[in-house]
Amino acid sequence: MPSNFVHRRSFLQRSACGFGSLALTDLLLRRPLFAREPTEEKPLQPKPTHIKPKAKRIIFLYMKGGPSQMDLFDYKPALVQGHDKPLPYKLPSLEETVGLDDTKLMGPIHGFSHRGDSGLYMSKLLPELGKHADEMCVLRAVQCDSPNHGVAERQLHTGNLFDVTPSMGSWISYGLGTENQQLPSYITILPGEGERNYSSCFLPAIHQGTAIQEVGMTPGRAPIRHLKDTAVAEDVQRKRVDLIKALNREQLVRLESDQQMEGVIESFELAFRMQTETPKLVNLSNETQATKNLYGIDQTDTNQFGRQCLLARRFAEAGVRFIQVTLNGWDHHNKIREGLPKMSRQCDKPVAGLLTDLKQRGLLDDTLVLWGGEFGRTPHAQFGDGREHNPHGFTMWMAGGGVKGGIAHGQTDDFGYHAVSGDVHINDLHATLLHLLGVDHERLTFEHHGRPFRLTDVAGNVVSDILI
Amino acid sequence: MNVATCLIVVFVSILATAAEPSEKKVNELAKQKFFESKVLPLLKSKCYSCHSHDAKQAKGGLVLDSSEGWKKGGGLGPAIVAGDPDNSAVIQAVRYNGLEMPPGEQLEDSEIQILVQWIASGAFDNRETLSTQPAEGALWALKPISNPQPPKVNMEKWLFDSVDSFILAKLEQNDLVPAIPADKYAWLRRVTFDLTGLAPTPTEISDFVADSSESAFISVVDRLLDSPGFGDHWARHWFDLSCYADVQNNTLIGDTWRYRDYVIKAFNDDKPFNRFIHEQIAGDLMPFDSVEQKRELMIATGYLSIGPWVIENYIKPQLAADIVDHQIDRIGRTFLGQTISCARCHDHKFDPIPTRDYYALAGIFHSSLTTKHTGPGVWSSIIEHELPALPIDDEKQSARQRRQKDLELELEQLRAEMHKWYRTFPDSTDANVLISSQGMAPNSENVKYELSFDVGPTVWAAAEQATRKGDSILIELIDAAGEVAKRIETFPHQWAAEKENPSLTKNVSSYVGNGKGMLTMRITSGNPGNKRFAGSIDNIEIRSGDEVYVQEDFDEPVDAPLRGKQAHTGLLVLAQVNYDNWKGLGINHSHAVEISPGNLAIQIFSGSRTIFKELEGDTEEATARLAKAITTATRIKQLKIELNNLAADKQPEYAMSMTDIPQPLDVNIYRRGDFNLLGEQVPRGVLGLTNREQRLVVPTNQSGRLQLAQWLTADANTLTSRVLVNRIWHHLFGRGLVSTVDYFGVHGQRPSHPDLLDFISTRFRVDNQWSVKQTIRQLVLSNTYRMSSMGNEENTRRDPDNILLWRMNRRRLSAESIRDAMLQISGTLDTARGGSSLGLELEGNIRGAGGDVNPPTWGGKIAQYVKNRRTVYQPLRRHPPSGDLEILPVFNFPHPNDITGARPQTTVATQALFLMNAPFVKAQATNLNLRIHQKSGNDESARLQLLYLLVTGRPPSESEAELSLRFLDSLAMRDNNGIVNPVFRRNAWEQLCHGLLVSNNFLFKE
Repeated sequence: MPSNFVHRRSFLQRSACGFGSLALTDLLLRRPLFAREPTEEKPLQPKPTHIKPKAKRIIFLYMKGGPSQMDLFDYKPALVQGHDKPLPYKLPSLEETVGLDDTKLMGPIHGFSHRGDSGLYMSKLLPELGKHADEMCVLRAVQCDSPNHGVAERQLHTGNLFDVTPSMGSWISYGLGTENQQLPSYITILPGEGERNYSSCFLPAIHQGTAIQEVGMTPGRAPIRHLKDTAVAEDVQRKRVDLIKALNREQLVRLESDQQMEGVIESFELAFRMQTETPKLVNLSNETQATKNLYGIDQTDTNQFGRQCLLARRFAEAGVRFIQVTLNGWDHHNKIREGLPKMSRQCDKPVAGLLTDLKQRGLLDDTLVLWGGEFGRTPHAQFGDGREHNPHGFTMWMAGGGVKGGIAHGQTDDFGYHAVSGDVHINDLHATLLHLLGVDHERLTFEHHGRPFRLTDVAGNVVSDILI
Repeated sequence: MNVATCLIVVFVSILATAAEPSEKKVNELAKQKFFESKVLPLLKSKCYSCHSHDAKQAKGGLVLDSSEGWKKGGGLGPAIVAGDPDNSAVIQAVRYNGLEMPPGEQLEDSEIQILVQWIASGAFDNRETLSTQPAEGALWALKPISNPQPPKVNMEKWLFDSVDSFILAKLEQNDLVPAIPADKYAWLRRVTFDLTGLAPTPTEISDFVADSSESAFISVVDRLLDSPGFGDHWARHWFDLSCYADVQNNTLIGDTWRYRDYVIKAFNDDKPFNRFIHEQIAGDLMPFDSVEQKRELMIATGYLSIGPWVIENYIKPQLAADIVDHQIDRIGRTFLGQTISCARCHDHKFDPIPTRDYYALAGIFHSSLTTKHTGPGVWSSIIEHELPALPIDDEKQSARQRRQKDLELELEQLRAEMHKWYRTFPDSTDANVLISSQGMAPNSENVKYELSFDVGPTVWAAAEQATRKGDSILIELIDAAGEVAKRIETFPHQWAAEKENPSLTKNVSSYVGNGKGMLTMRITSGNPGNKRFAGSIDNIEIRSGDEVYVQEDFDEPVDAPLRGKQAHTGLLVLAQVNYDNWKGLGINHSHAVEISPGNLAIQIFSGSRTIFKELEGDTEEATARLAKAITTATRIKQLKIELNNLAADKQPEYAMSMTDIPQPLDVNIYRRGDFNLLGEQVPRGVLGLTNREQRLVVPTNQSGRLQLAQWLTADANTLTSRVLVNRIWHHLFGRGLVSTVDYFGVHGQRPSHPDLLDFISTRFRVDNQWSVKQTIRQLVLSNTYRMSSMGNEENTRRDPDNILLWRMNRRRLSAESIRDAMLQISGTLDTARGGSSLGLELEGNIRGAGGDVNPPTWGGKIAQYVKNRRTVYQPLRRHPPSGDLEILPVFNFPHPNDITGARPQTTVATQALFLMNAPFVKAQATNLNLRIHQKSGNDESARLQLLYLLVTGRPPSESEAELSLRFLDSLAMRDNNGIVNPVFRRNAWEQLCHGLLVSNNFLFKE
């Protein structure tokens, strides 16, 4: 373990942003208010688990757009053979489609090879990641229920297709609390548009994902929205906060105590502290050059995603419960021969670097890394040189905390279109993630609109075959 | 302890148990889930055919369709021993150990295991409560609405409205003392925000405080109910329930605003609410007297058309099923307080709503059209219908033509006048023209700004404005010291005048801040010697990352709104710049040139020193000339707007609206909600749970929407009016009499004042004839509403959560009220109302039109004429808003896909960050400071009074005044040379404005 490890970790754990008490009051008016709300003193305090956890935290590498499974992880000889031949299967009759007139099969765009002792088949587009084949647990038959980005994305993040419900990070934060009271329990790094996907929704607001919108590529830009007032000198800002507090106190003296108003007063003090402390969290300057190189931060292609992944490791190290890292650009409806290699280059080294780094710090044992998009793609071509969305059977993979390495679970048909065995529905995926964290998905519930809600709704089975 | 207190304690403690989901309850829920999802289906599919009441003869006397059944058992004794599977006859039988059940085909091991696990864990069985006879009292809301007499009270002089009797009676029963009345300032602010969503103005405050008569209260309420702000505010409550948004996903739908305006008008006209419901659900099926009414009825059904549809779903039957589901859900929650949607896949778990009833309703909506597959690609769109044209008789027609001619003539004359005026200015060699619509903020060290602008082609306007090769445009960023921090000179790509073939070229440049404070921008002719023409600029934008500091489209003159085409010469543009280091009023002669249909570039022509002098008003004559010019310019704009409107009148108009399909149909049950698994067919109809006697008869040639609407508002319906008046109560008192405002079912909260709820429901329906305004008027004039929000130690101890309303609840302003009132207080609220808010005429605001895969999307630019309007008139997307509208989600504005009767109210540090640092709030503080300085001259005490009246609705207390002045004095007054700088004092006032504007004094209604 590098000597500065403890130092850095304790720095991050100490940095006094007080996120742990970010949500000062949370009066959900739609919940019964007759009785005094049980105001938890520390809503993010670590909570006991239902079963013994295998992983303490999750890093979710979200590949937005839907990466092509048959070009990256799901090697299909029949598809190689069938390249440019008419479809051996029928397209679903109820679906309105576009760009699929006279569509033909399209073989993988790049070569595959066996990697690691386990000999997992992987595309040569992912040379660095291949070095970790023996740690990877590849799910080849994941399924979701919608072929539309927005809906599938919502299902992946919240378990739910249509209703407005909390995201899995929020559920996990709600169920488990977090190890570090000074940081948010749930952080999402460069999420782009899609606030719904990290929303706490009807869960208390403290479980909302905190969006990091800057990873140190634009000097001076704040990592969190509205963090700074750069036009006003800091001492004036301090005086202004004191003024606000004094005005609020004055009012309280007049009115008598009021829990909600006191919460507001406290929130200004916290916000002011966040202004000074938060930028330190995303400052990578005390990482060694070797570490930065490991993530590809020295190269243009991988600079941004490398920084995202390195931050993810720092947050994992500091005890954040759920960390999401988004890489957008996998939606290859056309020109996949250009687009996919480009995305693979951006992705390969940073992800491999993350696995290496977690491992060398002893963090991979209790950190679960999950990689995947909202769906996969079709074996047949769209617009001649692209692939259409495919929710029927696609690939995600996990590594680390509690899952078997070097295995592939589940199978798609000969062309990689539909799951045929070992299928893992999104609800199953969520049930499994919660299980690894020690949570019984059927018992993690929250009352809303007169009934208990859960991440897996009324479904979900733990995929026990992949567990250590 | 007396009886009343004892009751309260019991009451409160029961509820406390309900609010806190205990470990035990969580376990119960898990067991319930297991039973319902695993055990029950098994029993139903494998055992019921022989062992249920429905079976012709229960075999062996054993029935398994209730817990009573298995407890009693058959001829062989109890069938199940809870907790002991091995000794349960049922388990022995399914293991084929002795008995062999079910006969013929043994259960799978996994199925047997389910039964074993169930019995081992105690054989949870809640089927009594699953049946259609819920526990006595649970479904209070299904009992007929009574018309109780106001109860007798001791303190009769406290009563004003009958409502007060119900409230006071409970208080007296429980030894609680009602709070004293709020002071007049607090009451006025409360009622003004509650009725209009805005703050009272200083004049309104002083008028009310000066009027000591009792009728003062009544006239305030009547004034507020009559003001257009009432509809703006109460329509927004309705949109929280109706999933209104202006943009469908990100694709474009231009006509939602008609429904929005319809709702606002309905509230302002006090349309009887039963009529309002009928129109929204079935307007297209209702009779009409005039074209105007027909249009209104069509537009009203936008209520059902507009929603969070996944129109790109390429499995269209799924799309249809999801839309119908949402429509049912919306109607169920909004009007009935029921979660009907639960019955899509299975009978409702605890409310008496069987799946049959769901599909009876589904038939109604499947018989109505909402969307159709129109392309491009997989996309559907919401169906729009052309609105019948408003009748124009010949007389009107010719009047219009005359009007048009008159306007055109006047326009021509005024233009000539303006041209003449321009020419009176001598050309100057060092003219500057400034354009900056707002301050460019905070320029801290190392912050990188990106400046981008489109340079337009030039088109001749007049001979003397020909462009020469080498002419350029110069944009300079000026720092606080007045130094040029960055200079960008642009030689347009296509400088030559090509009227036939105009195009734009984009220029992007970056600047890294030096930490020296605010920046302003200056645009000048790049060639100082140029007497002619500087060039043209279309869009300018300065941003740092996502933060946009300056954005100017020039699609309209910057000083006043003007929509539509302006491809004419002779337009006057006034640009005002108000920053400390670059004061002045600039004027420039410019031409708006159409560079693509509907979009304009402004050509900046040289201004001159003379003009600046003139504008600074050095001479009386100059001042008068300028005033005349401004009047003329303003008139020109009005003329053009009117001309545009006249032209637009002839265009066909569309609205999203519903129609029935030609042959309405009944649908089959979708088993487990899956449209591929059809069950039995169900005739179209309504729920059986209320007004059962009024069975719905749907004519075969109609969808049934009209009958549904009438059923909702029938006297026998025990839910609709209760739910609606409870919503009104919720908005006025901060919590409904039933606190679960969207849910009146078995697991909902019971009313705190059941008699009162019935009394108001009856009064609303019968006496007030469904008048919302009358109902609100009665409630806000009550003494209950007039109580102060002050605490009282004894009362707090007895009823800490104020369930019985012994004082007013203190409430935070809603997100939109925070935004709207900030604009109002700072003097920048634009009171224009109605019409489309999407600014589709702006360049780039329609993106991707003509594609064959995706429909056009909305570019998200908010037009100047919309920007400062009230929130209800802002374009609402189903994505997180950006820019100034970012404030909305920060303060719990509901997501437009969600049905939100009661918004959650959270306090988090991100709100404080927003209030301290967001450009929107800072800009309002700046504007507010300007406003109070303009109004108060040098009198600081008067200024402070005004500031407090504006922001808090009352004068400052002595200690507040002292605190405020102390704050001002604490900030530096002198520059580095020790000289007192008045600008510093002014800046200190800005900080005070900011502080007060984000304090609880502003944020809360007392």
